[in-house]
Amino acid sequence: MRFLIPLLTTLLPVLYALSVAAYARTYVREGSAGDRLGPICLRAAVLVHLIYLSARGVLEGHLPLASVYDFLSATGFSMAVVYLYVESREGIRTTGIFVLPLIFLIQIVSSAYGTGAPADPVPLRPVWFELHTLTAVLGYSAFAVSAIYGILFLLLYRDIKANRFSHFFRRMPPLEALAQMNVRAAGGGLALLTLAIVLGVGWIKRSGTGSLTDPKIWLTLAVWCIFAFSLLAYHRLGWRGPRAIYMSLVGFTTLLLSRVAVDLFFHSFHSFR
Amino acid sequence: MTAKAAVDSLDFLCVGLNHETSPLEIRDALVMNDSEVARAIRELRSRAGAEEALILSTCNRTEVYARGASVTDLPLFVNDLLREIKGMDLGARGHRLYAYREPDSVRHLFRVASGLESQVLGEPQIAGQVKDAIGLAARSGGSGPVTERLLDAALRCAKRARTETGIGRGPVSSVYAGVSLATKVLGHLGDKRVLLVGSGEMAGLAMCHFMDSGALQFTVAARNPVRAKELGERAGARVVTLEALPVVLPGADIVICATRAPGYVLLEPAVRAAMKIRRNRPLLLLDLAVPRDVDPAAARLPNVFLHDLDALAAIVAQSLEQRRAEIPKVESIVEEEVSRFMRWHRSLELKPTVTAFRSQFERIAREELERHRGRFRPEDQPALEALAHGIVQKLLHRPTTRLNRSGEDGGTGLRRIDAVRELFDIEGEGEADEDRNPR
Repeated sequence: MRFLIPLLTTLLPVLYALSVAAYARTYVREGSAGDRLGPICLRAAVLVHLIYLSARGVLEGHLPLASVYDFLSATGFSMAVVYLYVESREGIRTTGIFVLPLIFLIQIVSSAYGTGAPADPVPLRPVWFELHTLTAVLGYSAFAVSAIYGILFLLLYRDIKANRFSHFFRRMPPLEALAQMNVRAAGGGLALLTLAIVLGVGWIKRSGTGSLTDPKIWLTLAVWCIFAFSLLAYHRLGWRGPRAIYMSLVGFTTLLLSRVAVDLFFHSFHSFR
Repeated sequence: MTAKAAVDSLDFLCVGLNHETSPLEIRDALVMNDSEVARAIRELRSRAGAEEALILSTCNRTEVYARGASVTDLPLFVNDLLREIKGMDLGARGHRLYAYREPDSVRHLFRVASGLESQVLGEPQIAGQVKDAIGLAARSGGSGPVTERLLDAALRCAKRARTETGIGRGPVSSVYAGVSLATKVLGHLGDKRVLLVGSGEMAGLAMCHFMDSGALQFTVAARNPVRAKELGERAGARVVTLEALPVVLPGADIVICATRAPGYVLLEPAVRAAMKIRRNRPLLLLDLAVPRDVDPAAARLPNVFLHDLDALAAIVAQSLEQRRAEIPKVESIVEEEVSRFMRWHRSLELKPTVTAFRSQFERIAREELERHRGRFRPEDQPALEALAHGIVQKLLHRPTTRLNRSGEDGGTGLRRIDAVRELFDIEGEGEADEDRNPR
C-alpha cells in the first residue's frame, strides 16, 4: 500500500486542477448550469483523496494530521466534501469556480511540500483525540466555504444595487440562496467546532496532557463566540444582508489570524511546527 | 399531380407576409381564426389542387404552406384567397407576398419555428403556434405525410435551438426583466408576497408575468377602486387604497409601482419604516412608472433593491445582444435539419425503394442458402436456389405490385413507401429515424 502514497500525492492536484477547469467551463458558458463534468471530476478527486487519507491512516495507525501539510490536505478534502454537500443540496454549480481553486492551491502546497508521512512515529492516540481533530478540520472547512459564499453574496449584492448586470450577475444563484449557503455552512461549522471543543476539553481532562489555559483554546473560543453571535443575530435580531455577512467574515478572519498567531507567536501544545 | 411526380420534386411552397414585410394594420386585418383557416385549407385543396396545406396565422405573420399545388401562380391564388376570406386586397394596395420554394420553404418554416423570424428574437410561443397550425391542418384535411414529417422536423429544430443554444435565454421585456431580477434577489417566488401599486395596463401585465413565474400572494393598492378590484380578481388579490400603502408595505417582498401619479408615491421614510418592521428582510422595488413612483433615496437603504425602467431596459438590451450572438448556431441547426428532411424526402422515391426492398429479401435468401450449403448434396444446390428464389418471388409479388401503385395513390402512396422503408429498415443517404417524433 505504501507505493500508493506518492502516486496519489501526485494525482490529487491533477484531479483538483481538472475539477477547476470543468467548473470554470460551467461558469463561463452561458446556459451550462447543468454541466455534469465538474461534479464528476470533483467526485473522482474526493474519492481519490479519501483513498489517500485512508491509506495514510492505515499505514500510520492514526488520522494523517501530523504536520501542517497534512492539515492542509485534510482541510482541502473536507472543503471539497462540504462544497459537494452544498452543491447537491442547492443544485447550483456555478459557484464551484470560486471554491475549488482554493482547494487546488491547498492540495498543491500539501503535495509539493508534505513528506507524505510524518518524520517521527507518533504514539497511539485515543479515539477522542482523533474525533477532536476530525471535527475541528471539518468545522474550519465549513467556515471557509461559508466565507466564500459570504464574499460572493457581497459582490452580487453590490452589483444588483448598482444596476450592474454583468456575466457574474447572470451566473450567480439568487442572492437569498447565497445568504442561505453562507448561514448553513457557518451553522454546520459552528456545530462541528462545538463538538471539537468538547472533545478536546474532554481529552485534556482525561489524559492530563496540555492545558486549558492554552492560547489556541481561548482564541478558538473567541471564534466560536463570534460565529455564535453572528448566527444568533441572523435568526433572532433580524440581521440580514451585508451586516450578517460581514459578521461571519469577521469570524473567519479571526479564525485564520488566530491559527497563524498560535503557530508563529505562542507556544501552544497543539500548534503545528 | 401524381405522387410519383411529387417525390421527384417536393413541390412545397410557402407564401405569406410577416412583421418585416407588412405593417401592423395589414397583419391585424389578415389574422385568421380556426374556421377561416379551415376554409382556406379546403380552398387550397379543391381549387389550387394542393395535396397538403397548412396555414400559420398569428399577429406577426400569415403564411400558407402548400405541397403539390397545380396552380401556376400560387402567390396570386393566395392573394385572391385572402381577399375572399378577409376582404383585404393586397394587390390593390401594391403589397406583395413573399414566396419560397423548397428547400427555402422548408428552411423558412424551420427558421420560424426556431424563433429566428420572430419579432422578439427567440420567443418560445411560435413553436407552439406551428404545432397548433399543423393540428388545425390535420383537422381540416390539409395534412399528409410530408406536412406531418415537417412538423416533426420543425419542432425538433425548435427544441434543439432552445436546448443547444442561448436563443431563448434571458428576459426580452421590461416586465419580464423585473421578474428575472426578483428571482435573482429573492429566489423562488412561490412564497413571496407581491404588492402592485397601480391598476393600469402595466400593473396587469406585471401581475400576469409574476403569476406565470409562480408568485401566489398579491395585494393591489390603487386609486381607482373599480379597476383595482378587476385586477385583483385575476389573482384573488387583496385590494386596498393608496392611503393604506404604509400598512401593507412591510408585508410585501416585491413592490411593483406602475401608477400615473405626477410625483413619488413611495417615499424613503415609508420604505425605511417598512424595513424596520420587516426586520431587514430584502425588499425589491420595481418602478415601472414614468414619471417614477419611488423616491430614489430609498435605494440607499440596506437590503432595499430599487430598479426603474432604465435598469430593466439594460437587462433587456443585454439579453437581446446575447440572443443575436446565438443566431449562427441556430442557423447551423436549421441547415442540419433542412438537409435531414430533404434526405428523407429523397428516400421516398419509388424505384429505389422497390429495388432496395426486393434486393433485401433476395440477399436474405442467398445468405440462408450459404449458411446451410453444407447440409445438402452439391447436385441439389441448383434446385434449392430455384426453390428459395421462387419463394421470395411469390412472397414479394403482391407487396411489389402494391408498392408500384403508390405513385398513383397520392398521400397514401407516400405513407406506404415510408412505411416499407421503416418496416424493412431501408435507409437512404444516411437517413436515420432515431428521433422521428419529438412531439
